[in-house]
Amino acid sequence: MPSRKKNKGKAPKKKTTAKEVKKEDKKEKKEITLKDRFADLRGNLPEKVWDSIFEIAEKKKLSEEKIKKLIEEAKKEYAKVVVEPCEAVGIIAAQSLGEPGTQLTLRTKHYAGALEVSVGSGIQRVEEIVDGRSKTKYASMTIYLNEKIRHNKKKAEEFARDLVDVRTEDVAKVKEDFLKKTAEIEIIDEKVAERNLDKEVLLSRIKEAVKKGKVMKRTNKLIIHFPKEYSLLKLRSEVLKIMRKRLQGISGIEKTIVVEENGEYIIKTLGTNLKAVLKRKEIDPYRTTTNDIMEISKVLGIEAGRRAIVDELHKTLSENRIRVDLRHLLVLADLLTFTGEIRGTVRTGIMRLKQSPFARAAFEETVKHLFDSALYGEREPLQGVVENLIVGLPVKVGTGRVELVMRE
Amino acid sequence: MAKERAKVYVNGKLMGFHPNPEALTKELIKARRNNILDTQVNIAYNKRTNEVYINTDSGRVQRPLIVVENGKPKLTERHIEKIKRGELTWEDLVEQGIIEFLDAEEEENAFIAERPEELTPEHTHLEINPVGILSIITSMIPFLSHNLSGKALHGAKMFKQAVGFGQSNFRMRTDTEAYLLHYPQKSLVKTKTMDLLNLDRRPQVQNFVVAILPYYGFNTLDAVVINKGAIERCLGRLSYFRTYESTQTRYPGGQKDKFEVPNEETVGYLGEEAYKALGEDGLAEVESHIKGKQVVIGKTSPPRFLEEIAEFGVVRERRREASVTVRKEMEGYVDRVMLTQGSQGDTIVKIKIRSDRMPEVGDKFSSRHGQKGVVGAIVPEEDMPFTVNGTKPDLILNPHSIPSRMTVGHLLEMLAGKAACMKAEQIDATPFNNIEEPELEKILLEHGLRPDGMEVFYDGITGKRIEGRVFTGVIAYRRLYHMVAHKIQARSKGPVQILTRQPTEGKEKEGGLRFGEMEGETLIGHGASLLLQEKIVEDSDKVTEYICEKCGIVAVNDRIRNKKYCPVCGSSKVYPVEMSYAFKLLLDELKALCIYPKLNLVDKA
Repeated sequence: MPSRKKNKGKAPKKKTTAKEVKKEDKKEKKEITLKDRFADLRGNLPEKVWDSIFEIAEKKKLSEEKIKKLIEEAKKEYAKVVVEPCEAVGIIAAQSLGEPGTQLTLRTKHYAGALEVSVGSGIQRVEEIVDGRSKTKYASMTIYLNEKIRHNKKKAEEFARDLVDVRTEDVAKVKEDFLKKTAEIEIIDEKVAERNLDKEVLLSRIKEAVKKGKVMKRTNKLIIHFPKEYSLLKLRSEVLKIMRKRLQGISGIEKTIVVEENGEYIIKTLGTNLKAVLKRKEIDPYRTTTNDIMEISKVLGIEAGRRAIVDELHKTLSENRIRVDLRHLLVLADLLTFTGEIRGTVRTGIMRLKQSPFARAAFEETVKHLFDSALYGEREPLQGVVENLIVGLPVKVGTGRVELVMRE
Repeated sequence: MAKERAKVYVNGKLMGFHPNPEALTKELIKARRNNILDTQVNIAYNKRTNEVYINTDSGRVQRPLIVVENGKPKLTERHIEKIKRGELTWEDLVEQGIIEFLDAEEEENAFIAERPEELTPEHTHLEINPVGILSIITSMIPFLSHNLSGKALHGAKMFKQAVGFGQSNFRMRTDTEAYLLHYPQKSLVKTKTMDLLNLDRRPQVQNFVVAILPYYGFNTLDAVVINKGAIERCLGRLSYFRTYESTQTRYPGGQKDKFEVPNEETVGYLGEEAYKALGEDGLAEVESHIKGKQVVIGKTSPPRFLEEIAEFGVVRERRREASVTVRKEMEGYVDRVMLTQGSQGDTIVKIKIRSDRMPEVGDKFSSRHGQKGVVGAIVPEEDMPFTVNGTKPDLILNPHSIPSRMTVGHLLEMLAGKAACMKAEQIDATPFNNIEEPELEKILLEHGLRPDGMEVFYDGITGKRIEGRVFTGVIAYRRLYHMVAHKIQARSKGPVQILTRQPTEGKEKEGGLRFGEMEGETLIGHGASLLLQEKIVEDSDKVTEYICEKCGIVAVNDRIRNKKYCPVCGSSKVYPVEMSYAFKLLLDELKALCIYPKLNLVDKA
C-alpha cells in the first residue's frame, strides 16, 4: 500500500529534530561506501535481501571477507527460493488458494447488534473478487479524514452525516391533486430527526427541484401549483422527479458510521462512490478507499485495481485466519488484470480470451466453442495444459517442457 | 384488524379468526385434559405471529409430560402408590389429564421443569424423567450427560451400525444381508431405557477389558489394538449371512426355467468346477462349502429364439445358462435352502450362505460414546501388556483419543464397568440420573482396587514395568458392520467400458480407482507431466491409430490384406500416432457434427 507508507513517513518527520537529521546523514555515508564496494557481487539479489545483508554486516561488524561469504551464501539460498523454469505457477497458486478455501465459511457472519457495516466475508467475497463481478454485494467505503477533522469526533460525524444520500422520498410524503394540478409535499418530522437534518434547508432544496409552477411554503410542507397546461402524466412524472431529487449527500452512499481506529476517526459507509468522495476536501485522498474493485480500477486505473484485488483477497483470507503466500495472490491478480480491465475467471471473462479452442471447450459451453472454431477454421497449437491432456500428449510443464535435440 | 383477531389453523388450514386466542388455547387444552378432545390433539399459540395452530394429523412426534398446575405436579404420591399396586395404568393417567402428550409446536408454549425440586408456579409441565429430552437411541448411552453434545450424536449414529443379536428368528429370515454377533453380552453399565426396551434380551455389545495406553504405534490415529487370545475366545466374532434368490419363470409358449445342474451343451456353461456344490436338484447342498464365483442355484432357461433345424430335421434345443453365482469375495457354507411359490405359481428358491467374520485388521469397533476405531493390529496374547494379577486387556485404546474429544462418559463407563464386575451386578448410568463417581470409587476401594481405576502394567514383550499407571476398565464395545472383507479391492488390469475403453468404475465391476481431475492437477503442480501422461493415457485407454499425412484423418487398417489406407484420399501414406481412445472418439463425434478435425503430423521430438 503505497499510500500508507507515505503516511508512516510523514508522521515521524514532524518530530525529527536536528540530532536525528545528523544521525541519518552519517548512516547514509557509511552505507554508500560499503554497498558500493560490493556492488558487482550483487547479481540478481533483490533489494530487500541486499539491504539486510549490510544491516547484519554493520550490526555484527563483519570483516570484508565474511561479507563476501555472506553474499555468496545469500545468493545460494536465494537461488533455491526462486521459481524454477517450467514450474506450474498458476496451478500451484490455484491449489494454494483452493485448499484453504475449503475452510472458508459458507455462511455470512452476522454480528448481532454490532456497529460495523456488514461486509460480505468468506467464500462469497472471494468468489466475487475472483469472478470479477461488476457489482459488489456489500459495497463499502473506508474514508480517512484530513488532518483538520481527523481527531474531531463532532466534525467527523457532521461530515459523515453530510455524505449520506438523502432523497425527498426518504423524508417526505406527497399528496397529489390532479383536479387542481397541485401537489402537497409534507415533511415527516420523525424521519428528519432520525437523520439529524435541518428542515428549513430541506424545504428550500426541494423547492429548487421544482422547475415550473408556483411554490407555497408552509411550516411543514410545500404546496406546488403546477401550470394548468400540464397533462396528468406530465404532472405525475414531475412529482416523481421531485421525490427522487437528491437533497444532500453523495449518490450511492446509504449509511455512514464513524469509527475510531488507531487514534483517529474514520468513516465507514454502506454503498460506494469513490469518484465523488475523492472530490471532497475533508478527506485524506491517499488513504480513502472502497471495497468495490471495479470502481477502483475505473477511477484510479488498472494498476490500482490489481492492487485492490490483492488487498481485498488478503483481507478476506486473513479475516478467516487463512494464510496464503502473497505471491499466489499476485499471480491471480495479474491474471485477472493483464488485459487492462478486470476480467473474472468465468466464461465471459478470461476464459473467452483463451487462444486454444480445446481449452475453451473444456471449460464451459463445449459445443459452442467447437462449432465456432470449426467455422473460423481455428488451429489448435497444443501449447496449454488442458489441450495436451485431451490429446494425450505430455503437458508442457515441468519435465514435459524439456526437449533434447541432437547436435548436428 | 389482524392484530385483534388471531388466525386459527387446523392442520395447517386457515379455519377462521378468534378474538381471544389465549383463552381459546386454554379452553381447548382443558378440553383435552378432561378427555373431551383426543389426547393426540395439540394446540399451540404463537404469540409473535398471533396464530393458533391446532394439529390433529398423523406423523407428528409427541412426548409425554406430567401436567403441572400452580407449581404442583398433578401426579402425586398417591397415584404412584396406586400404580405400584397395579390399580392405575398409563392409559388412566393420560385419560385423567395427569400426563399429556405434547408435539413440537405445543412444546414451544410449555415451560418444562426437569426435576420436581425445580418447580415454580410458572412451570406448566414436569419431565417424567430428565432422559425424556433425549431420543430412544441417545438415551441408551450411559453417562451421556458427561459427554460433549456432538459425541452423543456420534454414539447414537453408530448404534444403528452395530452388529448384535437383533432378532431371535434369524434362522428363518431371508434378508439379503444379515449379521449375527456370536456371544453377545448384557452391558455391565446400563440405562433405564435399555430395561424398557429389553435390550438385555437382544444385546448388541460385548464387555471389553480396555486399557488406555499406546502400543508400539499400532493404535495411533484412532486405531485400536486387539488381543488375539480374546478373538480366539470369540471376542467380536460374527456370522455374515447373504441370501441368493432365483425364480423358475414361465414364458409364453409353455416354456419354463428349470433348476438343474446345467450340462456341457448349455450356452454359457461355466465349467465343471463351478457346479461342484450343487446337488441333483440343481440347488447347493446344505452345509456344503462355497467359494467365490461358484454356483449356488443351477438354472437353465429355454433358448431365446427357436433354434435352427439340425440334421435329420430334429430341433436340438440348446438351453441357456441362468445360474446364480456367489459374489467373488464370498466364502462360506450353505446355511439354509428354502423353496416357496411366488404369486404366479412360480417356484422360488432362496439360499442363505453363512460365513464367519473374525475381527481382522481394518475392522471397525466402537464404544457407546462415539469413540470409534479401526483395528490396527491383532497382537498375540503373550505380547499384550499385563497387570500385576495377570489380566490382559482385550483392547488397547490410544490415550490421545480422549482429551480433545472430551468423552468423560467413556472414562466413567470404564470405571463403572470395573465396579460392576467386582460387584457382580449391572450398574445404572441413565443420563442425568447416573451413579456418581465417588460411589464408584467406594465400590472399587471395597474390592481392593485403586479408586481411580489405574493399574500397574508390564510390557508383554520386554516384561518391563510400564512407567506410571494405566487407566483400565471394562466397557461395552460394539462391532460395527463395516468390514474390510466386504470392501477390499484392487486391480491391475481388468474390464473396460465399451464406449470409451477406459477402465470400469466401482467394486462390483472390478473397476479401477479414478485418477481424477484434481489428482491430475497435483501432478501438473509437481511438473511431473510424463507421469501424468502415463496415468491418463497408458494406464487407461491408449490406442495407436494410423493417420493420413495429407488429410489428417484416422486411416483404415485392413488387417486381412495387411493394408492401411486413408478412407478419404486412398493414400497409403499413413503414420502411427499414439493417442487416448477418448480423443479418437472426440474426433469421430466431431465428424458426426460435420466438423472436419484435421491432424497435422509432426515428427516426434
